[in-house]
Amino acid sequence: MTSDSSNRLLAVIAILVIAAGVAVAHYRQPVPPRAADAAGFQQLVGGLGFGPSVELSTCPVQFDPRLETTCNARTGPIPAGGLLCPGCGRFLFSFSSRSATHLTGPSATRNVLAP
Amino acid sequence: MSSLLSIARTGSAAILLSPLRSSVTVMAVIAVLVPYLVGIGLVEGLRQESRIAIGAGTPAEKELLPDLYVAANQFGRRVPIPLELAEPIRKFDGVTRVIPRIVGRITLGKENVEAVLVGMPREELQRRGSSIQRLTRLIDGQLPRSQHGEAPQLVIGSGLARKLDNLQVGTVIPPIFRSGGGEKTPRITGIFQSEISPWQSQMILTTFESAAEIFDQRGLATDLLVFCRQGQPEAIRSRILQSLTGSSTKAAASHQPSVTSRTDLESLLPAGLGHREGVFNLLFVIAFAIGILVILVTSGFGRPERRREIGILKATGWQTDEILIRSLVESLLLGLVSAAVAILVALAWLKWFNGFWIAGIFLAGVETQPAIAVPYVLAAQPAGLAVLVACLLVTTGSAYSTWRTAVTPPAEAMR
Amino acid sequence: MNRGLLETESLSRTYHPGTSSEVRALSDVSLAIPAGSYVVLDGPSGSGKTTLLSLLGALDRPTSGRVRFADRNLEDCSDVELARQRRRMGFVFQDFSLIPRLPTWENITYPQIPRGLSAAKRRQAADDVLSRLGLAAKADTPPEELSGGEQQRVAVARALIGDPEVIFADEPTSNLDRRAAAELAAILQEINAAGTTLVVSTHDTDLKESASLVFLLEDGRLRDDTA
Ligand SMILES: Nc1ncnc2c1ncn2[C@@H]1O[C@H](COP(=O)(O)OP(=O)(O)OP(=O)(O)O)[C@@H](O)[C@H]1O
Ligand SMILES: [Mg+2]
Ligand SMILES: [Zn+2]
Repeated sequence: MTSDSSNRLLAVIAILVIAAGVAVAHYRQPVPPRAADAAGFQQLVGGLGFGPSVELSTCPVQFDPRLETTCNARTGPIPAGGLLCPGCGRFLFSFSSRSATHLTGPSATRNVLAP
Repeated sequence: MSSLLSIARTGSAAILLSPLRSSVTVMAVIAVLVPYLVGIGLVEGLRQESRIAIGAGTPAEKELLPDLYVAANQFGRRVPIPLELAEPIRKFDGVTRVIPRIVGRITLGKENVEAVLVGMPREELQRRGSSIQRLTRLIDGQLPRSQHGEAPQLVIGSGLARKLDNLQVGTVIPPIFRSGGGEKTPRITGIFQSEISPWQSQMILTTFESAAEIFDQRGLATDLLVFCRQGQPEAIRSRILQSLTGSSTKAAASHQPSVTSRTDLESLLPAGLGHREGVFNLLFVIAFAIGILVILVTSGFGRPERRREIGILKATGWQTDEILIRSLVESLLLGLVSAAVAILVALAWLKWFNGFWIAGIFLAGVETQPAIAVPYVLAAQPAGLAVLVACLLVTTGSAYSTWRTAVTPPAEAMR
Repeated sequence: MNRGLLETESLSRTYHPGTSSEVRALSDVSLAIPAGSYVVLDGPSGSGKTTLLSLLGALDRPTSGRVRFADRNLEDCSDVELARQRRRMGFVFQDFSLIPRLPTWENITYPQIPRGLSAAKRRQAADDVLSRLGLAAKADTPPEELSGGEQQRVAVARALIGDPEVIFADEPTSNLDRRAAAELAAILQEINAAGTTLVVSTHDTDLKESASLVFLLEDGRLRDDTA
């Protein structure tokens, strides 16, 4: 190719890369009005919604762990049994490994051990 | 101009020498990266929304979000809590406010559309509504103010409004319940704006009083929202657990408290890319595996011409390392372009096409064409990963065959 | 046999050895090409002319035997050294082997890019060579828009560009009509007259007439009377 068209290609590449960089810089946080509106909505309902579902679900991974602490579909000792739950099985938004104890807090152990 | 730079320049020109091969490669990489970037963009956006939903943001937000969510516990499961248990908690030192809330599931219409019914005390809703500066940004219409015994007033989510034949503000809908007090016809006083939150989509907001009537279950709340003074939540949580467990009242005897604090919730937030079990790595691995397959197939495009070209270069005195540099520059540039275009396409997909189709895969209950403005964020890490993956894919797709060809005698490569 | 610029010793090349499709393209060829000479390789189609040229031009490795170019044995050369030797040679391929879509002047000077020559210098060199060959007007044309004869001359121009010590040309007139062939023959003679060693494979009697040395190949063997 002539160095002319090669230069043009390099310019196009540079423009695309810069555009992508600017896009990431601009959209790496929610646009401010949206965050403010989301906060307003959460204030109205007292904090509701957490996981990747807009429907109420019996799986805490899904709609909100404040409503459910245990997943009905989790099959205990089976390895990766959580995958059987369409909610946990999505695991596109999985909780960290600390979640089991933190979710229920000390009350979980308490309920078992208390006389 | 140094010779290295001259060789690098031929790498960029080489992209134009085999336009079909270059465009197929770029296309293939974009096809691999865009769903990945859109998915990660959604997950990251949702994570930001989750942070807001649990008040992990500014202190100003914390004021109106509770520190503790108290429900009851029966046989290790979370169940509604008797309202009378709110009273002792209210009296605890450091507790500033206790608000009961109902969150339940109902189905609407002939198609049995699932909805999340949320009831907040009437005066609490009014108080909150007046403290929010521009309520119209949140709701098209008004907040519900239905009292006990009145026809329920509802604010419905944008997804529900669309599913139920494009409901309008002011519409009266057929009775959705039959309580002891007879049928009452609910009225829609507002519709949530679609861009404020994904979770409003299937939500129906009404007063606590109406919600209790709709479910016809009185004296119970799904949870108690407990507001505490600064630094007190942990102490109050222990107090709730201790003093209400095994206490003598009839209700409390069968209901043990279950408390979720905001720090509990915060610990649930996925730690982002750093966290190992996450989807991020899974998607990354899948994308990479598919990508290598795709690249292997597409690298067959224009391979004979490429062999010849390398043979010619070799025959006219180019060295193997010079040919490799040329090919590497070409691959890196192709990778860079692919990643940049993929990022821009992903942004367009999220911003202007509202996560069409992909949002439905990542968010349960969201249709192909979402009724919500999907939350998204283009984080720097996935974008960087995309660049890395793209460059790696294109380079691995070409490096080996280029090297093989470059070390065979030119007479053979040129055949 | 006096020491020449190029010398081969019992040179053999077998394609696909040990398989059913084994072809002995060249067997036991020993010859010497003196510096500044004009050598013609003659022989019927399939006699091994292209094979021999590839071995002489360091484009292929022999199955057995040796090739010496100037003071180097090509078998002993590393990949990098071979590339260095190739830069002292020019090669005109039977099928031209120009890079598609690349303008003529870039095609011609592509070999010089790793040498760090600026684009302007390369363009200048290309224009010089092209005007010598009567192709000045085609500098910016890609090869697919050139006639067969023009492509052939571009291929010669590429072989000429680095001032090589020896130029190999594989049937350079086979695609040309009589007039164009005669023109090219004149150009080649001019090149040789300037001191460059020429090794040309051809059936063309015009070319053979100006040759200082003719080798006749038959079935991959050198006919004794020509050596
Ligand atoms: N890559 C190859 N694989 C197998 N056989 C080959 C290969 N290249 C050449 N040959 C065979 O080697 C022999 C010599 O081929 P070569 O191309 O050297 O002949 P040539 O004299 O140049 O013929 P022509 O005048 O037609 O160009 C032929 O029989 C040919 O079929
Ligand atoms: Mg031949
Ligand atoms: Zn589950």
